[in-house]
Amino acid sequence: MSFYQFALIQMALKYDAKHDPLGAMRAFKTAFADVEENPDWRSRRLIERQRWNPYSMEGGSTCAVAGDNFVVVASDTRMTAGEINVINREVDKIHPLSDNIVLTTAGFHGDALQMRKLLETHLHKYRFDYRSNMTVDLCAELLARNLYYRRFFPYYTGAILAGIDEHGKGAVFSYDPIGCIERLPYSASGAAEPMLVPFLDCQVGHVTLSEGTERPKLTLERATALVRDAFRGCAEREITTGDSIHLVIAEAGKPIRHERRKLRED
Amino acid sequence: MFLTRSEYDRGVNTFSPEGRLFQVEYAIEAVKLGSTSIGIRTKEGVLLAAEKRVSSKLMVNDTIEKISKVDDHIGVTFAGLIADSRTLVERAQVESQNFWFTYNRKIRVEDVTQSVANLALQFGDDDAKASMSRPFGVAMLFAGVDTEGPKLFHLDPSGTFIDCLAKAIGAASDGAEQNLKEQYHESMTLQEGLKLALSILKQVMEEKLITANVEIVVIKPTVDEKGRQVGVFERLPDSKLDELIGSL
Repeated sequence: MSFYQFALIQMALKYDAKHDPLGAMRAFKTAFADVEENPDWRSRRLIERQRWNPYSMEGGSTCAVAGDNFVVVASDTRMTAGEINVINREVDKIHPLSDNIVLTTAGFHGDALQMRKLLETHLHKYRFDYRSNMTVDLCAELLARNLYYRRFFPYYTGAILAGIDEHGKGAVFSYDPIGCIERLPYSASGAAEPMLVPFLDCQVGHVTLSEGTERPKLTLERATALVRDAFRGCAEREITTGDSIHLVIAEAGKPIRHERRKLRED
Repeated sequence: MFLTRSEYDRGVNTFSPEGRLFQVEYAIEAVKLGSTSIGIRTKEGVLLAAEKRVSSKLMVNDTIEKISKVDDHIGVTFAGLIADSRTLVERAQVESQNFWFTYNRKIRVEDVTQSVANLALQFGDDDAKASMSRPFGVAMLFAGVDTEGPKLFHLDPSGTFIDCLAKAIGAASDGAEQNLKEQYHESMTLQEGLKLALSILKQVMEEKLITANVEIVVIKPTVDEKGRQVGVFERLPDSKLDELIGSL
């Protein structure tokens, strides 16, 4: 006996379809939903286990823009639980790993911290094994391998690795959670990614800029100003992005600089 | 030295009162039983030349390999207990592939040498930790080209490795090295290097130098698709060897 027939019989017993058609329909829907949600073959434990989720999402957005001899990395500092509930307003989501490597993450903060620790350990070991500092190009490949290594239980992060490469040029590497790697002139990740990317496409990549419009060269000043504007815009429209912008600026041959700006806190 | 055997000969990791590790020193002596190999570094690339000792005419000559490929840009030659060298060569190959896999880049010659040197010291008489019960009885010459240019490294059984311009190992290493010292100069071309290596081998080998008992590998610099300097491993074919030997 299929559960359709079963439900029909149950319904027929409880309600008279002729005199109470709405009630009959309601009872049918309830029975149908119940049988679909809790079929006999699923034990309570099984249901509980399938509901358990090892990941959480703490919101926030991040982006990186590469220039000729610099790279600007930016992130907001808000951490949320379930979109509305702000649990921390000054979280650092940008992790400078060395003088020329900066990791920035959005997504599950626990995984982000673990990933950072992992890279730091590798960087440290590399220094001993190969008696030189790892460059961002090498670190980028290393991160890709490590992400793919967790192919079936991935780090739930949208990572961006930025830095100054071997030739002294700004570099931005973008990843998906399982290690697909791409070197881009600019990249964004996180909750406001759909807002940041079109803005950067227009202002940095000049992809969506109409013809004949002035295309100014990307200087460090322009890059930082653009990134600030981008985050101000996102904070207006995206609720898990806000509180303040944390900017990390790496320039060839100079130590990393940090900069913080207020954003709206609502 | 061999007559005054002392109790410090027994443990491989026991220092004698004079501060010597006899087993390591004997291992270095074992290298001198092997056939001669020469490595020469020039600006145009680096070359390895090795004597193949064919002890019987019943041996199949082509199967003797005195120079192994570690990676596309690194080669290695060895002298001493050839069976021991297999372990070390494999470590070098694994290490360079591992580096390439992790970082998507060719490993430096020095780093391969370093990793093999680490293995060379992992001997001991305790079963648990040590992978080898005695020192490896081989010396090796790592030759390759990386971003820093042509490189030649000498590694001995004590795990010491030295960056060299030219080096000889094996039975006639002393004589060969004397010759190298006299004739090597830094502006040498690869062709001159090949001739020098062969003429030295010709002098020091007990048998007559023929195409069948010599092996030569050259590693020349080239540029990969990302514009980085690497090397190409090339084993000289018999025709080229004939030509070189003929011109001596």
